Amino acid sequence: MMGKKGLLFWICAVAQSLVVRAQQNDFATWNYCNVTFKQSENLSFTWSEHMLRNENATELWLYIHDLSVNQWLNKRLSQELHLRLVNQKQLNDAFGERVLAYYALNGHAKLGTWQLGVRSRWQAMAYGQHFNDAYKGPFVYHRAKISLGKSVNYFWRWSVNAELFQPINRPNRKGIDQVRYGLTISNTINKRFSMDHFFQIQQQRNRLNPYTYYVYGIGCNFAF
Amino acid sequence: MNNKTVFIVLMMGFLMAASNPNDKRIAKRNFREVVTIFTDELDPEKGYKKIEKYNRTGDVIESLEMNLQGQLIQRITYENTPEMEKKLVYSASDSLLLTEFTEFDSRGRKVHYFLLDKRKNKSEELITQYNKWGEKTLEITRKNSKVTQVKNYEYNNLGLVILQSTTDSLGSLISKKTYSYSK
Repeated sequence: MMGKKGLLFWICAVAQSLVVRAQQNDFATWNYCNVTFKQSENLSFTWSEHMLRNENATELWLYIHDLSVNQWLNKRLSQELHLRLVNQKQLNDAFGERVLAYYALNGHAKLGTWQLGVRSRWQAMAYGQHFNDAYKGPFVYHRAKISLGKSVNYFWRWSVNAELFQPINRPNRKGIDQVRYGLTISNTINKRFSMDHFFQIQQQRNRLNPYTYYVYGIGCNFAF
Repeated sequence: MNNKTVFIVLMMGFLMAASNPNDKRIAKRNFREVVTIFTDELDPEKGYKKIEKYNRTGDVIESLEMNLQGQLIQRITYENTPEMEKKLVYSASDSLLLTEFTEFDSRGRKVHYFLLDKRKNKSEELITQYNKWGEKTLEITRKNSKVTQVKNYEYNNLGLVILQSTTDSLGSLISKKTYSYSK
């Protein structure tokens, strides 16, 4: 069985290969920190901070503040409600604000020793401040995600996932406008702290200038 | 949504359904009433007839037990939902003989068990509590309506039990077990 050192070696190897593969400044990094307060086993509140860097991780791309409430409905279904503020760097190097709210319904199932997850996320996003002339939106998206994972032991778990972005009310975008594939390796340190390492390919589609980003991320999760 | 998305969402739903086969699927066949007749040629007194009625989801909802002459001995009713299971046993004269009740929490764990047997004049009750990490912290046992045993559990950061203590109804310590784990 692969030990901790072996897994860390492969994580570093993947990260290295991504940097080497980045040919067109399309390598990005994603770091986040989730702090969860568990009110009970079924109800929790989370505060998240995300920071993404693009242009081969040399420039700040966007940063995100997120508040959410998460609830388990039964052992197979859970739901989330998020309020999110996104600051994204624009072409003039200024950061534009996006306000985002979304609801997600998650399904969890076991296939023997494998864990299957499906996620349906409905989001509405507005660009700029409401009383500003540059205000646009809200634009509604549906994001469907499927993931398949397996626990190696208490400390390590890996999963693969795929996600489709479906714009609902954007007149200039029809059909799926982004696809994401990913591999995640989760490291549970204890019940209050865990870390996620992930690699994700973000393919934009059905746009005037579609990009493909190769993203490597590290996330920390704290729970109290 | 276009056809491709609808197809993908439907496939995801199908995968979810296929991955959770209903344990009761075998019993979900068309018969709604099953009659079992047991005869023992060496000991005719052992013979009985049982009529079991099923609901649409394949669960037994009523069982009638009678002797081979057709006289009712006892009637059992069942009520099963994801939240609870209830079993009631009635005599031939329709008086309640036994009550068995099990309650489950939203994660499907048993949190309350209750048994009242009037024939043996006894009752049993088991209450289980879990903390926000999903760890069992308390187990209270009652027999004949009196608390007989209280078990407490404590866990470390990895969710492993490190202390289990048992007290009686007055709070006197019956046993105390500590656990330590090597890295």
